Amino acid sequence: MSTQETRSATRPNRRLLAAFAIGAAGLAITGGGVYAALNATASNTTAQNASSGILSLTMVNVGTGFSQAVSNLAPGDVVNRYVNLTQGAGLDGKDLTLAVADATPTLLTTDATKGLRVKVTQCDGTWTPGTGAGSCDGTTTVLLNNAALSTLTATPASVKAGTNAAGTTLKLQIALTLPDQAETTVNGDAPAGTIQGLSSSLTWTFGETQRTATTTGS
Amino acid sequence: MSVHSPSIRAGAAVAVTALLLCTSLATADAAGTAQAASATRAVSSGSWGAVATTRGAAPYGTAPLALTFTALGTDRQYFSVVNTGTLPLIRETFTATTTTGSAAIEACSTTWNESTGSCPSGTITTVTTTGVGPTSFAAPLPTAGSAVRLRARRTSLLQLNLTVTVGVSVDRTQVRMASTTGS
Repeated sequence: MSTQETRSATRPNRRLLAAFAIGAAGLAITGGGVYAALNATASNTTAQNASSGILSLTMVNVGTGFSQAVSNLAPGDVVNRYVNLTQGAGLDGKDLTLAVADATPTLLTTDATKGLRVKVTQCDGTWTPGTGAGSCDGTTTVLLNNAALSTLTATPASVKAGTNAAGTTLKLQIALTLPDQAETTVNGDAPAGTIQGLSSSLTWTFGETQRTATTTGS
Repeated sequence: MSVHSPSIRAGAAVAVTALLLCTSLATADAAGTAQAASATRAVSSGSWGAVATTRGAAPYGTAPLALTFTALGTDRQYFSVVNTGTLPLIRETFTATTTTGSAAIEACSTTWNESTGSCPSGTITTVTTTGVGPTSFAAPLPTAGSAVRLRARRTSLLQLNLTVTVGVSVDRTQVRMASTTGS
């Protein structure tokens, strides 16, 4: 008796489930119909090329340039070295700087008064390195005057604030000097804190940033 | 159900926005830089100095030279002034003092005959004497380690025991002139 009652109670539920299933299927079909739409696209027939520029700066020694050591400087000595700095053919650069790193720091690069100083001069013609001051067959422009290496080791110095146009070359004379000193050596014994007999290992680095970004259209 | 709760959706949206913002800011701040560096090379300063010594080779020390004369001994002693630096010297400053009596420091324009005390085919020049203070004298020492031979001569009339002390100093003006070079 109780079994028959249970069977009769489950029949309406199966009908209900079937009804829901049919209804859901119908809803899905009709719903899909509601959301269907026509689509259209437009694209260029020829692929547009997009490329990024290349910013590059190269340094080439003129004569011995920075390839040769400088030794046995006396106070007041000036040693000229020549390099060509070429802006790559890609992007323009700007804000040229010069920094110096010393792998073995001494007073030569840490003392702003007694230490080494540098002067950078540009020639708009061509430098001819010589045994003396060298010569420029054009006009010279001093880009950096008498800067202490002690400052260049800490912060790069501005050498040229303007733009370095792509493909152009700066022809530079780098004049390194040891300022005059007033040291007296007594019986072969140099004074304390002497600038004499010191050696540094220098790396010269020119740096720049890319030209100012632009917004263009045509 | 919890995945789709409104609060979590809002949090995710904020996170995505922040990520995009960071990305765009980094892009805005980035700027291309280029560098050109040289090879690393040594740069060194020279040194200057000289010392009076009776030694034939380094080390020479850094004390003034003391020469002792005895009453019965010779009245002249020879010594060298050596360039202990790396730069050429044009001249030096000499100081001579004595404990008693007097003495002179002398140079020979050729080469001393130290046995006879003569200066063959040359002239003897007084570098300095005791009691006059520091005296600059042109004794070129063109290279590191080069030397000039001088002598100290007792000049007091009485043959006293005395010690002559000779000091040598070199200042910047006595070193070679500054030069401009390039290559």
